Amino acid sequence: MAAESLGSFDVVIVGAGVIGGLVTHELAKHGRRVLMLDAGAPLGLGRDGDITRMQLVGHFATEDNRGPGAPYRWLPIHGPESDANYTHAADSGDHFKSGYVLGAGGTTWHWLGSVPRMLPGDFAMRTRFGVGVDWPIGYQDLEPWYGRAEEALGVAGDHAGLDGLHGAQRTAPFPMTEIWPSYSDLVVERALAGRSFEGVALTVLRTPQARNSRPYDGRPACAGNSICVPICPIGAKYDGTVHVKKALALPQPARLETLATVTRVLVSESGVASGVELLLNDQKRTAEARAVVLAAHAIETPRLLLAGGLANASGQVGRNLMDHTNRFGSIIAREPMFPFRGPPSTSGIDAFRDGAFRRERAAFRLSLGNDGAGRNAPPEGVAMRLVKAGLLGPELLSSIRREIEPLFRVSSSTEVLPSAANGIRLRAGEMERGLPPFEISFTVDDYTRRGYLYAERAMGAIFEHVGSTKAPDFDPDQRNFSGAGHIMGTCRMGNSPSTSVVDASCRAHEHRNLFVAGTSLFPTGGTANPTLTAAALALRLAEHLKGLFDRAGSTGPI
Amino acid sequence: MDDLGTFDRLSRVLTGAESLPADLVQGHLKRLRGDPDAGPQMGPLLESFAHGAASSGFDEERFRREIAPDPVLGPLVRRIVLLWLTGALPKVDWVAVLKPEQKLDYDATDPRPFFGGLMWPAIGAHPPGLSGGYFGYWRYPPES
Repeated sequence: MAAESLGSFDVVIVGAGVIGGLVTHELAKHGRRVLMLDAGAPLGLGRDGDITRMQLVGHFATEDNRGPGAPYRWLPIHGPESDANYTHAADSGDHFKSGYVLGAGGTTWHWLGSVPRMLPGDFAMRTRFGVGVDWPIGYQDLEPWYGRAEEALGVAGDHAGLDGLHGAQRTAPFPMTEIWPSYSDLVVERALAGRSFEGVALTVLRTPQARNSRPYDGRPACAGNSICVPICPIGAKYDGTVHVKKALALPQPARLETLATVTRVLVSESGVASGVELLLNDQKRTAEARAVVLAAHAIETPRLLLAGGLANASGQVGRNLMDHTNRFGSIIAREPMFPFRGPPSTSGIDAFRDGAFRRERAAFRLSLGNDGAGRNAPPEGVAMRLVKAGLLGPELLSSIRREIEPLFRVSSSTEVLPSAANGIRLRAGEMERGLPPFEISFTVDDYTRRGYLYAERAMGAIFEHVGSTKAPDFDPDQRNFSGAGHIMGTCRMGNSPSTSVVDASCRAHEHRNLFVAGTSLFPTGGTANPTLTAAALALRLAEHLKGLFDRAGSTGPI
Repeated sequence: MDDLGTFDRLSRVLTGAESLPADLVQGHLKRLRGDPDAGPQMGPLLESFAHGAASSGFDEERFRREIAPDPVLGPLVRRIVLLWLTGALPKVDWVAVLKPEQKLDYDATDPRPFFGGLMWPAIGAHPPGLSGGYFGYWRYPPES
């Protein structure tokens, strides 16, 4: 018996995260009939029966392990949290450490919200530095879309401070003025005034953030609840539910189905997509569409393509997996830094994100932390140690304060070059939600390692100027790094069908009405948190799709 | 003084807090009584403290100094104090070995102990997730 159809749509969008939400909203606003499908639960959409934000915050507060997955791991479907949840291939030299969220709103539920733009150099690595590959578009092509993405997400930033950063000109101001610096940001700024490291000025810049500095778009200003990772209790931080909800609230709303895993993109012999097959609450269903957009983030999107043997004449589907490798150092400063107040990071140093050195070693971005000694050293550990030492009463409380208030960390987030050896592959095993299992191979090379070890020296210089009571604490294991949560590269865009999956308009080379959106598009990773760039590409894709539909007839594939 | 009142006073002496929320006093006493390690000893501890605290020569600082090294009551008061500071009880024999991966055991049914943790106001901050603050407060040093 044929599976029941959910209906016929102009577009089916696979994935209801920030990217799926943005594309859906743009198309539905333009009068297109859109179906959004997400494998996870209906989170925070405000409808009867949805899981609420407060429920998720409650789970955060009662979890023993308060990492990025804390509010979500109780859900029956929620996505991997870290390398512990992946199967690694035998040839994987390292572990891939970044996870993602399945559910309406997607991984932006637990993102920090930092939204720097990529730099002109990031788009032309091969031409400029002889490493990596070039994008089929440049910074200037994407610049207007960056402005629109900043408006859509609601970004607070310092336009004057960032305009022209490593050649990245800005043509529009931020929709909101900057998130205020923290007390410790200002301590560091004073300490670094006029200072350089190996000829590079240690300029502290306000980090642009998708976080309200005033009421914006019906959401409140940031109140400094400090748990951006893993969840904003009040919605001052942007997350993907914003545009999913907007799409559902339109006069001609989009349709959303959750707990709906797409198991196949249906494609004719001539390579034209006609819709998708899915499991909706474990029941097989189909949905017909004139175009299909895959926005299931950079692991599930290639997984779906590989499962169907689609879009892969280049052999690049699932390959070129990138992340940013994060490391950090921490000190006990000579003066109070007053951590654990405000967003976990409000300023950074972008000076090392570009330069001729990229011929030899990876670029990196530095973040100043407002979270003590960082995510690896929760302050509860300090309290436990002092209680164990036998302290009680007022002496205990004042000792906890004395130990915690001067803690300070700087993190580095270092570029990883694309490598065909890094990626996801399908493997034998039990199907999961109707999809074949996969394994990951990920090995960080010396280019990146040289980059993050250089970053450590730069951090050492910063700590010296700030002043500490003893030597800074760095991870002695030089092979070790943590994931940044920036999964990229696995369906990269390019001009050549033999080396890329989609073209410059995000269309699969082999399937004229199949599109990919999100961070899987990135041919290189640069040093910016990738969501803003993915959002800019998504809005650009939506505009392109609107035009295709306007020019096409009223039925049939576009 | 009943057990709640005794536990309230004991908790204030052990933590140095000037006052404690009544719902947490109740909740923490209940949790400790149900804890396999602390439970059996809570009755004798409260009885002994009530007796000592009622005496005219009771000195809080001396009480803390004497109970901390006590081989039986020392570990117990440390569990009580950690519960007040963090909202959780330690899971393993944490006094013997404090490892980085040692976990705190939060009550899975009630977020209030976490949000009521005393260590956060102690460091001039707020419980994670509940700042009670205004935009930009983090630019300034804490008020206290």
